[in-house]
Amino acid sequence: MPLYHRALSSDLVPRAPLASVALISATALAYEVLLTRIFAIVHWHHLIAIAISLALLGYGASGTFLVLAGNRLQRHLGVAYVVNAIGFAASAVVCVVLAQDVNLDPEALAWEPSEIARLAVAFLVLMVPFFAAANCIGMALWHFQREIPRLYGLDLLGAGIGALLILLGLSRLSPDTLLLTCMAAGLIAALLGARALRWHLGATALTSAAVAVAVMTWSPQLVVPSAHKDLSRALAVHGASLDSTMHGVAGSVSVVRNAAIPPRSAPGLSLQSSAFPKQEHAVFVNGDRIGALADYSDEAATDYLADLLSALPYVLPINIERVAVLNVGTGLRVQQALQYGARQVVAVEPNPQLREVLCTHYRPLHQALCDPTAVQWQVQSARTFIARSEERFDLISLAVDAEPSGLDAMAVGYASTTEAMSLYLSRLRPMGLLSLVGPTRMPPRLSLRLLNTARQALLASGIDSPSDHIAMLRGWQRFILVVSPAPLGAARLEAIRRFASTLAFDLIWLPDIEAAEVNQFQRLSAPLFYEEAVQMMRGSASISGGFSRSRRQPVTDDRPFPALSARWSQIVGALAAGSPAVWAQVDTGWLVSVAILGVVTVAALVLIIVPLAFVQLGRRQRPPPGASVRTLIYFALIGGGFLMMEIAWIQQLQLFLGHPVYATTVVLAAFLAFAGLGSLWSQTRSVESTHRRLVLAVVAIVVLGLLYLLLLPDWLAMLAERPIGQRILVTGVMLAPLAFAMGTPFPIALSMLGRYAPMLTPWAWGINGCVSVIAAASTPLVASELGFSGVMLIALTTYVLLPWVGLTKLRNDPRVATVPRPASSR
Amino acid sequence: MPKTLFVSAAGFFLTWVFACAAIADPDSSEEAAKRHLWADVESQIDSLSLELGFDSLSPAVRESLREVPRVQFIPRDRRHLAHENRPVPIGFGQTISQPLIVALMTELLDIQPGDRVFELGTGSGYQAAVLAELGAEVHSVEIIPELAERARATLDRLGYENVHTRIGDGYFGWPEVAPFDAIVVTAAGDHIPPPLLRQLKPDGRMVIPVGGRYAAQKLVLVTLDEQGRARTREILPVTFVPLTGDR
Repeated sequence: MPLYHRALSSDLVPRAPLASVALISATALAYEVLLTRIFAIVHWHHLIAIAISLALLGYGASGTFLVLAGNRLQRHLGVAYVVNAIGFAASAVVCVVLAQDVNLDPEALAWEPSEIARLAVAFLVLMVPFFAAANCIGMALWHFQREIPRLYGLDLLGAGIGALLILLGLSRLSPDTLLLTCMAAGLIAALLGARALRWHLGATALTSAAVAVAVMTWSPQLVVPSAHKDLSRALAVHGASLDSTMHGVAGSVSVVRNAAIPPRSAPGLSLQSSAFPKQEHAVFVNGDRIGALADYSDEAATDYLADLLSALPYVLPINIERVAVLNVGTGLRVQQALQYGARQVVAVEPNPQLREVLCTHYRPLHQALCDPTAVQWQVQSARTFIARSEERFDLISLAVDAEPSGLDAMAVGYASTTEAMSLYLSRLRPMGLLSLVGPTRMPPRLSLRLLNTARQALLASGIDSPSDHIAMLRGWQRFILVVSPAPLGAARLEAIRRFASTLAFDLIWLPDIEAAEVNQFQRLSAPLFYEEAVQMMRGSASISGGFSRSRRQPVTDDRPFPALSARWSQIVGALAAGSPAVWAQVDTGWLVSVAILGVVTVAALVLIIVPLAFVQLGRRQRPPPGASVRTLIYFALIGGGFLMMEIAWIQQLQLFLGHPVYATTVVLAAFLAFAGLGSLWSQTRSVESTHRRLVLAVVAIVVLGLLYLLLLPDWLAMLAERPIGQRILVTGVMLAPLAFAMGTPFPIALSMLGRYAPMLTPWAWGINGCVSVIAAASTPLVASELGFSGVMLIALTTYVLLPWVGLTKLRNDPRVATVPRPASSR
Repeated sequence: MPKTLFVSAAGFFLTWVFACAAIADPDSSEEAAKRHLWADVESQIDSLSLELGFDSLSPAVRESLREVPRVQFIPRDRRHLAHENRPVPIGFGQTISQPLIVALMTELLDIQPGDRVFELGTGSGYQAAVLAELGAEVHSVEIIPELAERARATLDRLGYENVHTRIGDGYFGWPEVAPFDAIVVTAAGDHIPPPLLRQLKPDGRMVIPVGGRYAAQKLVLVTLDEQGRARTREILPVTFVPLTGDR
């Protein structure tokens, strides 16, 4: 054949779209992480598990779709690939806007059944981009079987790069810009795909350009907080305007100015106060209001600081010179410390944008907060700072906030756990104080949980009589908890009583408290806070059961849900008993999580399993006896175990990495990459040794899992002082062997099925996908009940059970040997 | 033949049923729904008598609640929910309160004809209309212009001339007409505005619903003691959490 003929023909032969697959994979992972930010802005929480569940549902539904339509798609690979790539690009933007149009109001979920339908619609709409992306990757893998290792490798490499890029993107760009970037990347992937598959490059370019123009001109703002978010409501107020917006990994910070109707904030202000703050700027993180910027340039404008509940530590007879203010927010407690003469204040704030707001954009309002001789700023999480700090403080001040409706019940927080409080106590001078302020709710929840948490921390610190070291007061919808390593003593107790009486705050607990002195100013029908505090301080033996007991459970690093006040068992029990008061005890956030789990389960069954059953059950080929049940159990166990483990790590590593975005990105990337490598390695091995390799993998998973479970908290505590780059690296290295081992059981069994029961292969994918989706959505609920160690143990148990299922021993089963091998088996 | 007869009879019967339904007085079903709603509210109040300190609404409050057409204060697309004992969204992330909560707040305010009342947060205007129906002179401030205009239009349409509204900062009350016999704060934020407390008469009453937009944790009644110090009493804690709104 002449040379030019050969060149021509090789140009016409479709090649595997390697670069395109890598780009789609990178964009899909970046989009998955970006969704967590979008959820936080539009709704109430970053919903990491839901974003992962969405992605898995899209991938799972795509698997079923390819099984059903694979042959037809094979014949029209070029057009199918390009349409899906362009579909991914367009839907990445369009579906976010459409999902917002659904106008979901999660707070109404308890009483409005139509909200569940809205939730389902929003969920299904957001699944579409992942479905399209997975179609592209799946079609490429199916069509270019010889290129599977390269395609798979580039898929993983792409995911890793996507994780890195989204971290960079979130630190600089707005969610709108990032969405458009995802769209652009998807369109480039379509062009690269068209080029590799030899499918009309010109038409692809034209369509891509048209899609880009249409989407960019369609909606001026893509990510808009829902009408129910604080930011939207603040902007609807007469005279309000958006003053500035900044974006960072820790969230999007917005400042709203309103001179006509100032957004004043004075949490815990005494009812006896005649002073009030001078404020015109409200600050929002991801659309949630965190406070207001006070103008302290006018001296009279600081008068109200003395009338706040948080002023209590400063009126006690101790010399407060050195103060650590954790989770600074809008700087109120820092100003308070300076106001009371603290010589050195360490202001600890994990969100760098907040520091920028205070000390760059609005510095003239509060010069003192940014005076480096008085205030030392530390941009890190409270736990990281306290773990690194070797200083001793007179006062450590922390604010713990919670939504009044309980919408943030499933939010993970490590700043107010027993372990955290023990650390705080260890960083206090002998007469120092730990002060926690937060909102009160009825029935008493966060307040009493933190009281019990402080008690446990004192016990853990070797103090035998914790009740002598604690004081607690409540005011207008706020409480303050003061804890000291030394007994409070008569002088301090007298000062606390004087403060409470002058400003009309109610006593909840003092070591020598009398029933007659409680419930004086903010009167309840019964002194509930006091009664429960007394029970608690007398020890757990006298604590009654049910919801009360749950509300007082100390917060721990293993169950770090400070705002969660009810557990499965109590809710189900109360519902079964027909208790009319049950809904008063249930947190909206928990209810939403349950609703999401229901929606996810139905969606996974309908989109993955039902179509598969419809087609597969009609086929003549029957699997070997017993293989179906084994396949079902084996792949369900892997799907559940893998996702539980992955999400448990994401939640737990938030403590070490300091922010959910870091934890999500690093864990997702590490699990994808190393589990993928494990899977690739496994595919190169002989099918004869499958069971032995499975046993080895399970042993490795269990040993590593238990090792991490037992030793990891201490290891990570030692490394907490390292810079974030090093901590990310350590996380990757630590997860690598575990993820590698976890990546092997799936292909091991799949190769066995391919040989002895190929008709079950689609089922293996489908069941695995379905259970993965459900496990991702259910893990936070399981963790809230059993703790993350419980989730890890369940995940490890699923792996332990794998060899017992017997799927990898299929070739030794005499019944299997009698089944004629299909022609397609290798 | 019998088959044709049967079909004809069935057709006639169905036509008759539809015709009757079409010409039936639409108000009769609405009246029934209203009666059912307020009976439900009264029944709940009776069951909450221990927490509330009273077991029924006063006749004046009962009458005013039945007189004010709640449906008129609800956006058209949600009017089918007007006679249900639940909050209803009215736009801008706000809701019109659950009837039970409006009833309780009104009862707690103990309004007498001619009382001067300040309302912080007009919202839909429904609460103001109920207070006006009792003969109070209501001064209400709203911060969201669109809501304020819509409420004003509804109040005008229904003839509530004793409700005075304005758009603006309610933090300082309405000094020109202060002090007030009663104050309703539906937008308290994280503290009670000190200037507002100073506009309460010595024997006045202030009521504040506290909690989420829908799930009120409690109603707070603020009164002043002999020394003029504010004291609060929390109503409906723990055992019953109704759904409420107007913020």
